[in-house]
Amino acid sequence: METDSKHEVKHSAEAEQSAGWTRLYITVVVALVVQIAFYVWLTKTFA
Amino acid sequence: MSTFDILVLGSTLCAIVFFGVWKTRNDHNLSDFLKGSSNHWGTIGLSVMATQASAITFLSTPGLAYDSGMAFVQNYFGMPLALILIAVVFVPMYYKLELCSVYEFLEHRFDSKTRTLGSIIFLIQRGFSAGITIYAPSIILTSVLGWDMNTTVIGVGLAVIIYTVTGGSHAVSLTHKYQMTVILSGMAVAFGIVVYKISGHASFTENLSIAGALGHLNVVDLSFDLDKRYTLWSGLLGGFFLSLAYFGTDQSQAQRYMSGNSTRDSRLGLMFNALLKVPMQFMILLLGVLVFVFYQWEKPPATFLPDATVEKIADLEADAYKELEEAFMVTFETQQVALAGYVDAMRTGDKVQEEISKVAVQEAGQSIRDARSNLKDHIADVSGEVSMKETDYVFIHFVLNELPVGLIGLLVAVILSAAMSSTASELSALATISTVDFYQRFIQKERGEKHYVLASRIFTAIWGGLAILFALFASMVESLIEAVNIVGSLFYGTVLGLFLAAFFIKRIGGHAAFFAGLVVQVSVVGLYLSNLVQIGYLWYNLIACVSVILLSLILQLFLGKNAALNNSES
Repeated sequence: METDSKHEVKHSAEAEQSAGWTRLYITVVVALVVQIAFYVWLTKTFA
Repeated sequence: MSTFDILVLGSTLCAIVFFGVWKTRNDHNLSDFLKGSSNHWGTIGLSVMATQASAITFLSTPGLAYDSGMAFVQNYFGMPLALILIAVVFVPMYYKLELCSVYEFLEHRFDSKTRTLGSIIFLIQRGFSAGITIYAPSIILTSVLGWDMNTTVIGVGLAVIIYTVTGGSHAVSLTHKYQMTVILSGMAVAFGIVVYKISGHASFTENLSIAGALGHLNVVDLSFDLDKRYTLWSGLLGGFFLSLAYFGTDQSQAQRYMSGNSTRDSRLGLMFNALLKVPMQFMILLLGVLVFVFYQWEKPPATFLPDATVEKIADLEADAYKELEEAFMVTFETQQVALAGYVDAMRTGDKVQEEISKVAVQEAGQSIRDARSNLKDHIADVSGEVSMKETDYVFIHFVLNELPVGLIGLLVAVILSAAMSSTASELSALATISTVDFYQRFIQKERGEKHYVLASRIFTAIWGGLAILFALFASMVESLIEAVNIVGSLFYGTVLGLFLAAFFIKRIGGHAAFFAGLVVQVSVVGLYLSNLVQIGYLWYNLIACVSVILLSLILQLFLGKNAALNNSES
């Protein structure tokens, strides 16, 4: 079976990259950053 | 436990097992059995969460926070980023190739022997973990509840085997939904009760200040010290690679999110975890910290080790033990006075007095730690056991002594549900790999669907039996949750390196990938066992992963370009 992994990965990833998904991924990253900032604040405030 | 608690516990667990068997009684299809196809994203999200959250998470994590604070949460910081990469790159490829075993991808990209290497590493690593998953809660529950160890291990193991053999991956996903419901509601109740109990002594913020003064709100460590187990950087980098390996290349997780209707369901299930896992872990650790604060106000036992162990030691060296116990109680009374002074100072708003009282609390806290440590050393000396880690017993002690009747049964059900949920995923994944990657390829190649369903059922039962045997003969390891993570970190890096090379570096061929994987895996295990290098275990994920990629690139240079092309066209 002939496979061209890099091409397939690129193609599949591009095909699925809708604006909705991008927004969701950005939301996840922003949520993580906000949480880390909160934990840093918690550490600094109560240490 | 009271009769009512036993009734709550028994009915909860029996209902889950019965539900799993009943709902999948008509499943005879190989795809349903191995992949459990057609799940909604909510079910996938809970199933992924339930697979990762073992009983150790709920027993050991609050104890870890009680002992050393909340730094462990940093371990999970890299996870959301890893899940995004998996959702974007891995999931579409796995769906496109319609994989039952994720290691089939290594054959598509490299060759048969690299797939076999990936599958063997998985079977060794996950087979070992399945034993710990049953053993860990059993050793703790039997010692504090007085249950028989063998009966508990066999009971939990058989309950899982029953519905996993009957319904396979489909039953695992369905039961995960209800197990997570029990787990989340049980933990929420425990959290509410500890908050209520400490609110009688001081406000929530004041209690947090006490935890902070005693060094238990050290959530984030920004230092670059490689020797430290948990820092922001080891959490982001090491945690990213550990999560990428665990969710992207471990069959027990991939099988959960590949059970969706479409890539959409799988991705949403993963993003559900990317959003909720860190806060959930934070709340479990905060629960441990609040239990710590509770035992600053209320008299704790001098040691949380099981009564039977302590009584035996106390009898052997009665005078010495009593003296150390009394010394501990004196330090506790000093702490009571210091805490009252600290809270008064916070309420009056006198900053100078607040600082003075804070130092008094810290000094009393240190005295308590020293007194407890002396007692622990004494117990270890008398018993001859050097690694008696009492943190694993802290949360269960709180549950058994502070929760009302009925809720104790619910919380023990939480712990056993978690043990069952992660074991079920492991057994289902082990059976799938045994069937698809070995039995179907090397032993019985051209048999019908019914034959392979039967083979999968037999493999599930065999792996379940082996996990039970391991749990029956395992000996106590220092900290159970860390043992699981250490084992994972020693094996995941290699497999992740193979997968990343497969996805992103076209020039690497099968021979180079296989030999690089083999050499790195042996080296990493050798390095860890030899104790030559002292680094936090999370770094092994990164080291092994990068080593596999670099070594396979170097090997490929020697093998030449043609070897890579021939391999990718096999």
